[in-house]
Amino acid sequence: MTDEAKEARDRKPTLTVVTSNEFDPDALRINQDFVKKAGVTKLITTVPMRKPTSGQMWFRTHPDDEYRLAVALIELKDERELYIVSPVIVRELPLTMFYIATLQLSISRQGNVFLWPLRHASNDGKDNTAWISARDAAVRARTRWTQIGWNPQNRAYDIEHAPANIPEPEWPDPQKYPMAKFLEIAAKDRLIKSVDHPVLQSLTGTV
Amino acid sequence: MFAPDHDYTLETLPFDEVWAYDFEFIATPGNRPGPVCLVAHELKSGRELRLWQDQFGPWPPFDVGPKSLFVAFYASAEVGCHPVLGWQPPTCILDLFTEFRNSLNGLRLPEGVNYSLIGALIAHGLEHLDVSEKEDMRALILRGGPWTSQERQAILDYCASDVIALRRLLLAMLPNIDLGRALLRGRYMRAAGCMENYGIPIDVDTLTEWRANWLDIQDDLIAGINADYGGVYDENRSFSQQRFRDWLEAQEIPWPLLEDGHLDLEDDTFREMERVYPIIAPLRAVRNMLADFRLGKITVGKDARNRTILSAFRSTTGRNQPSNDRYVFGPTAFYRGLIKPEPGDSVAYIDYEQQEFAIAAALSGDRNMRDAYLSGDPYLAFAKQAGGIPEWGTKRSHGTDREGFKQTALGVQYGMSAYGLAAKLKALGLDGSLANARNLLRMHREQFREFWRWNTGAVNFAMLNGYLVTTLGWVVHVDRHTRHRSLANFLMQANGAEMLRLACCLMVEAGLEVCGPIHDAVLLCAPVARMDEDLALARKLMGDASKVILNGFEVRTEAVTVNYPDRYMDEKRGRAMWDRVTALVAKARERKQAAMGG
Repeated sequence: MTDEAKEARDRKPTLTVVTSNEFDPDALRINQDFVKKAGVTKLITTVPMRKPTSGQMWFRTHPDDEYRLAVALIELKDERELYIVSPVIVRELPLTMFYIATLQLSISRQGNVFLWPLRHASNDGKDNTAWISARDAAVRARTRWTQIGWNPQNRAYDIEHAPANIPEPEWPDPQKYPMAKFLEIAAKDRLIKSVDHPVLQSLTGTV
Repeated sequence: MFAPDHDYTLETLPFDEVWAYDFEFIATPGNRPGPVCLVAHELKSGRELRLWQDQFGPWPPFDVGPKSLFVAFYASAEVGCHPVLGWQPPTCILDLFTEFRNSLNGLRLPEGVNYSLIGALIAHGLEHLDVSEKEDMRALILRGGPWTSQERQAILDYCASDVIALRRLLLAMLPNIDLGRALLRGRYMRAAGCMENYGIPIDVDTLTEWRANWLDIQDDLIAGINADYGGVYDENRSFSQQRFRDWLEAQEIPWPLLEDGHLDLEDDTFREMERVYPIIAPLRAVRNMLADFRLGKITVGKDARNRTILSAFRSTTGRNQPSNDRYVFGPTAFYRGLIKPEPGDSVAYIDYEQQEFAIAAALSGDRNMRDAYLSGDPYLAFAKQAGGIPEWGTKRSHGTDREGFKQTALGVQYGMSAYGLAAKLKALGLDGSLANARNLLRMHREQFREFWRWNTGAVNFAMLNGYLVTTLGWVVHVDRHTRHRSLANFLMQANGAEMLRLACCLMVEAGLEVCGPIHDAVLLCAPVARMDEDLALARKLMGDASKVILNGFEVRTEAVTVNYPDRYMDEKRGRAMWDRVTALVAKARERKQAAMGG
């Protein structure tokens, strides 16, 4: 060590530290919870009525009964659109025009919610393996991350479960988003409340 | 904007004395400052002190205890004069530089404003000395003595004019100063002054030999680089963009382009690419050495210590930004091999382990992220949490998979896109498909949801309120030029800077010889016999500092200790180039000896 370095070390300054609370770093700490500070809330503005993408989407179904609702649906196959029929007019429609399905609130692994229409047995009492396997998958998906894949030979969905260590889904706050709210969003342009509705007019050939 | 809790006036400042003060000094490169004069005004009483260098006594001419506040502009310079004079540095410092910087940090500065004292005066609409007049006076001081009595008077008057300017600036800024946290920043400026004063021990013999043989080894260096990098230097020692482009294509390394289609050859670009492609490191080192002989610019004092201003708070994140040329930790990594403890001494490089990951985990409150950090290997834990590695997997059994998750976790902190991550994975010999990169990023979002929520919340807060602030009050302001990515990264980087600053304060105040800070690390020096004790204390204090910043969460540290006669070395990024240069210098020496012998 050089003489100068040695001298500098020998003359190391003594530093006084203020210990009063006013300047205590612990007391001066600023809360870093910017989520709360920003006060930004995410709005759900779109709720598609759809089934999970076969072989691609991991999903869960809401375990509460409140988030399942049987409705009458009309499907426009060419447009791939679903319409909810109001119970008020459903009795006025021919049985072949609509089917009954349970709209099941579901969520993808990416956190997107959707209403999965699970078909009941048809109005004439017939059921099929595709519908049965879909309903089965929906029940299983209440507790495990699930994926369905279409099996053309069996004409049914194969059901796969993800490993158990995948975190639970984060469902939207039930206070802000009861089932009625999801229905309202999903049915925004897809609710048939009268026999004059253009969809019915189109199907009955009146326009 | 971020508003202070108190609205102080000069009269209500909670100190008996408030001193605005300024030293004029001569600082030759690498050496401690040589104080020329001191002017100090006690602002409450109006008392003035003017001391020429022959009037400095063994004790400070004012009370430096906790009842006095010292106001300065870039206070580490003032603090650096204290130990030279054998004076205890002030206890409480209000640095108007740090506060001015904090008030505009992140914003584009108005025309004519910079972060100098004159810039601050202009920004506040206050009178100021003409720049050329100031330069003339600095030149007179740096010329060195002896000075005539008129010159001496002129220098004292000039020093006094800065103190008067300080008073004006203080009065203008005081209503907006967040005093408690400003004093913490002042506390760091005191620690910075002490660290600058200690300096980093350098192997001057090796540095001198390298400098002496520099011209002789240039051709050999170029030949070596050309052999490995497709002859990128032509016969005129010019860097051939076309040959470099060919080499990059052969290596399948994508390189950033300028708007005109040419390769971006800025050193910053090389630095970024070096991180992704370590193969670039020796080439960057040689480019730097050839470009401006940086080896010649490292400032080493007569006592074989590297010293330069640390430029505290100079970066937007509040980290130090010392000169890349003058600081031994600044240039390419192999220069670090020049760090060598003096006989009987030891140096320790102590750094926070995965500091930014720990900060993200602690401040976001993400349980998975905290668990991952606490596991000791956050990347392996992340991989297991995401199901990418079985529970029984280890770094050894699943090293490649772990690396993919590690690069993802690191990349996310810098806002890396799927394209960027894919390129990085590819460079490391991993699955560099876009699909894999997207998958890894998705897993990060899924595993660390709270972190993402918090991070998005922070960016939202900044965009809505126009600022973000760290735990101890370092602010970044938002304007239309602010980049989303830098905001997303700010809290990790800037709280990391807070952590290291507080750690430096605690260590220096505990009497430890902290030679210098380096990003998230420090270099500690001590006699060999005492190093274990000093190192243990330093690591404890670094842990304590992390607990303050992270509300009780402790960030681990790791340390590498080197005893004389060994040297410090960055094995990963610096060893190859160190060995290359050492061999070339030895060859040059042998040639010279042979020539002399012949």
